[in-house]
Amino acid sequence: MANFMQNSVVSYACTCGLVNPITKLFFCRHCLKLRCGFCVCHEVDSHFCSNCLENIPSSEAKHKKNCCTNCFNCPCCQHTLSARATMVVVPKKTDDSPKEGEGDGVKAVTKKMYYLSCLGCRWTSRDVGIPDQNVATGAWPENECSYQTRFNALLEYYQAVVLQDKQEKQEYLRRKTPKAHKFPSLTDRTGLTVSMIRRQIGWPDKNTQKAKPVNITPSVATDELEDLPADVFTQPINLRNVSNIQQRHGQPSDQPFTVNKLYPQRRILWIKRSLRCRQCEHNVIKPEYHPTSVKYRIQLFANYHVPDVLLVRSEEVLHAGKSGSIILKLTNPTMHDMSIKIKELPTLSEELEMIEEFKLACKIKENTATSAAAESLKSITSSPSLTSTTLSRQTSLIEDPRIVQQKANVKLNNSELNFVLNQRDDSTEFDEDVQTPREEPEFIIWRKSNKVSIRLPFTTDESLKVGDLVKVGFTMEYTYVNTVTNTPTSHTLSARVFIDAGQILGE
Amino acid sequence: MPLYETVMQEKPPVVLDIGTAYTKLGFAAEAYPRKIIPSEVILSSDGKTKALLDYDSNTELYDQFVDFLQMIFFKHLLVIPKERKIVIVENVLGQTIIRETLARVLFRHFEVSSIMFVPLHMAALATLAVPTGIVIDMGYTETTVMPVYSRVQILQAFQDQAYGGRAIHAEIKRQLLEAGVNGKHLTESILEDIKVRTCFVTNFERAKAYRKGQPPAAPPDLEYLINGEEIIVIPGTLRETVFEIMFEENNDRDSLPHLVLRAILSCPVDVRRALIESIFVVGGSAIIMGLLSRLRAEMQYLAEKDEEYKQKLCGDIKFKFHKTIGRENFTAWLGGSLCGGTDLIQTHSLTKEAYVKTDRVPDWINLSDKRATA
Amino acid sequence: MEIVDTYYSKDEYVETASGNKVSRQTVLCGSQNIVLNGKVVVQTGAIIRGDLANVRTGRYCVISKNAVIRPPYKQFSKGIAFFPMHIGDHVFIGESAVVSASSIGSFVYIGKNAIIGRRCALKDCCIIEDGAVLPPETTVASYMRYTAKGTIEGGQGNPNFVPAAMQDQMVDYTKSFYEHFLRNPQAG
Repeated sequence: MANFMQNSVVSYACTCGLVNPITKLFFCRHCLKLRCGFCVCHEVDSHFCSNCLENIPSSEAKHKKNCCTNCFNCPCCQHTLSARATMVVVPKKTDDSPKEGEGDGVKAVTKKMYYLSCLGCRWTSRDVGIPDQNVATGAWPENECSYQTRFNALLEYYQAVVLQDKQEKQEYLRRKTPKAHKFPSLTDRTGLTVSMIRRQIGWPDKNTQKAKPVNITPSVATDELEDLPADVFTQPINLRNVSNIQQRHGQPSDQPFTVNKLYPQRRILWIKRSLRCRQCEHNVIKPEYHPTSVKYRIQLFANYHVPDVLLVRSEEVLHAGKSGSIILKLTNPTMHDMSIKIKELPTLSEELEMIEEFKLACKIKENTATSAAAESLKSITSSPSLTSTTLSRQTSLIEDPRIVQQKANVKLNNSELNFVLNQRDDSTEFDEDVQTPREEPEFIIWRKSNKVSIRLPFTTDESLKVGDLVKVGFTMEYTYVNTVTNTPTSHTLSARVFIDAGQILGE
Repeated sequence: MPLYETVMQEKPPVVLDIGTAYTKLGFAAEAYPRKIIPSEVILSSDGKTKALLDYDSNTELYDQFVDFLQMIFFKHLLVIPKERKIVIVENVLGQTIIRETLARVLFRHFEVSSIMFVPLHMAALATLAVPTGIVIDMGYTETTVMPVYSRVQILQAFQDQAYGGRAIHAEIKRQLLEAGVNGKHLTESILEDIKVRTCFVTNFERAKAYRKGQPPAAPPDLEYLINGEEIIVIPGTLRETVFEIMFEENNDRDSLPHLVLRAILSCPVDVRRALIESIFVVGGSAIIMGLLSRLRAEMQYLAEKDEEYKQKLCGDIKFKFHKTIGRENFTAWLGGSLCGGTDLIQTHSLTKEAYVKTDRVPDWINLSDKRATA
Repeated sequence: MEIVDTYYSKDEYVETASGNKVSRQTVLCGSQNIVLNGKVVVQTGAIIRGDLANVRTGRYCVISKNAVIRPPYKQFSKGIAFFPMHIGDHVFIGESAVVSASSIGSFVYIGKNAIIGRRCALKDCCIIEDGAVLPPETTVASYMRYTAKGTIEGGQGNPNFVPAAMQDQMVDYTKSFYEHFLRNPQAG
């Protein structure tokens, strides 16, 4: 990467059809497929505050409305507030009787009082009128919701109304469809019913608890509205005192119009996510629990399993309709040798076939739970892990994979390129560069331990114009050794790679 | 133990009100939304920011909704969407494609357990505990007027017009360009800031004076700092007159007071009096100072002096307005929160199983959905 | 794209025994307080103020042209005191960035023209975008991206803003930057 922030020119097509650079892709070891952020299932792993980096258990997070207890945000510029200390002289009356010759019993004591201040915009908690606190992590007051009681009353009222409605409906249905008893009961002949018997004995009726709707005072419409204050036409307003929209939205309950009513807001927590493959339900990424740790418990990044393709340079100036070539550098990240085959991209009909196969595999997985289905499954998808997963699941809707939007506008000159990439061996990093003489195919330019540099010749499309971006695309088939199961099995997997080779310059 | 308590012990449903400019999000049974965020999405494919409802094709809208909802669930609400109930407050007469795509994204991509669609105007009225009223929702793209009588929406009397935040911003821009300000600074967010902080709706007498061409003494001009770079002068007349586009007289007679009166007149005769005495204005653009009193003054004037309305609205007409609890811009969300807090969410939601069978959201305009209900 | 070889002339850069490649046109005040742990590239025009307090960098760091590394200060009632500054391994500091953070973790990318306020704490694997301005005493947690607008995005496990394999990527990037930053093969 010439520039870290630049978008990578090499991107891979994921199984869902979206195209991403390899840094955004993951590899599911059980399905042996590439996954991207779109086709995995995101889950919340742990909560933490990004300022104090404290881990907060999820139940407490829910209770505290996903806010940190100690950290606050400035209502003006939304940066973190820090507690500052000032020394305040507080006169303190002593109880001891004044000793002779020492004057009266009032002594002055300096105490440390804290206030919140923002280092980004110089807002302080004193601007709102919050008194200074004794302790740095003291109880800073929050603005209250002025209509909370009314809201609670409304909520109770509606809950009661809905409940009453439901009970009435149940009663109606019960009365409408009398239960057909299998055996004739005593009361059919005699006309006695249970409720009559209960009344005769003196017991109260069954099912008397009915939700009585709490009465609520509906809002009263008034025709006395506040007119515009007369001074709005004459008095200039100081824009510094009027809050803007972001500041108002920071306090959704009352959204004050003036800045001096903006209270500091508690800082919202952040989460660590774990990603899970939708098909096999195994985790693809699982970060560590601790907020400051950058490690992962499970890390199945694509660059650890899929050969990495890097564009070194484009050899000639590209013209429309003429042939050109690019130099690619491939790296084998695994601990086994890989034999690589570079072929043309699948055509549209082949892509649609692949999508249909995938959909069929999913349907079979959903509908049947028998071993016969497991057998047929094995033949279609040829992945060992699917047979062992539970086939009976609740209705799952998996999104259909899409056809890849990016299209290559070149044609490869050679139909197939085969070569071998050695395994990754970290010890050779320190060895001298020993070139073992080997018969290499002519397109391999350079080879070192697990890296190979090849030249890929192609012919650009006739219809391209000057300034069009040339996209080279190919299917890379590579052998992958799956070490998940006890006996490592070798598979041939394919990845579709798209490369931005540069622009067409000149005729 | 009463039935409704068990509902509360489960995970509370998520309530979303996705508007064109702002989205209000939070949990059910809470008195205010957790966040009010602009409806903008940072695309995961290239990192650019764009408006959520600005799309060219259905797949683009789908992807944008996926990115947006992912941000809502994992950055703001911090919950897993899987197996959660969702309440969506929406306009009954909104675009079907938005509703369908939203349902598809939520069910297929995020695998939520059920969605309950709540009509916006009913939800707003629910916060007042009043069964009858005419609800005026002033949003970003449009203003909609919906009369509700005895908890039933009178759909035939629905009116809407493209007065909203967007029209006001365009008017501010036009007036500023006329005053000679360089247009390149006037982005949407700057215009919105000017509207929110400096403008107001002037009263009826002054507006009449403006229309006659004898403008009264204008309010003081303001200096406005843009991005810390340039200072522009906002003329006092702008502060007063940008909202006049909603009240201008034109041949179509579709300014805001006309919309409301037309809606009332489209209703059956016996409900009109109840509606007149129960007017409720909600929506972000309704927060502006001076709007309600001006609206009342205009409607009173039309009801008394205008030929058409004088004949049809007889008797002593007194327009009465309700006050919202909380601010107007999340009143609809609040209604959704009230609905989500009751047992309705069990009975009236669209569950994932039902969606799988039909692959579409039941809509009131579709006859096949109406047939099955008893 | 692969990084291309950039060459420097022998009299422009000094290569020390531990592999640090330091340009002669830098301003290194108080060089006895500056510890460059090995294979660090300090490019032309960089300013490191070791005279104020200790500055320690980890291995394979890259301090680009015209960057300013200045230890943070804290104001006391009795005056100002400067605090030592720690930079982790595999950190890339962009051109003309002004860094006053109290500690920078490992595997951090700081974009060009970024201004890091005093006593900020940047944890491991975070990204500061080009042109971002961090107010004093902000903490940027791991896997967070501080944007030029002033917002924080990202998080561990979020594949969008900070790549999940940030650690490996920064290791690759800084290592290949160092390996491709070569002395001009011409004599003299």
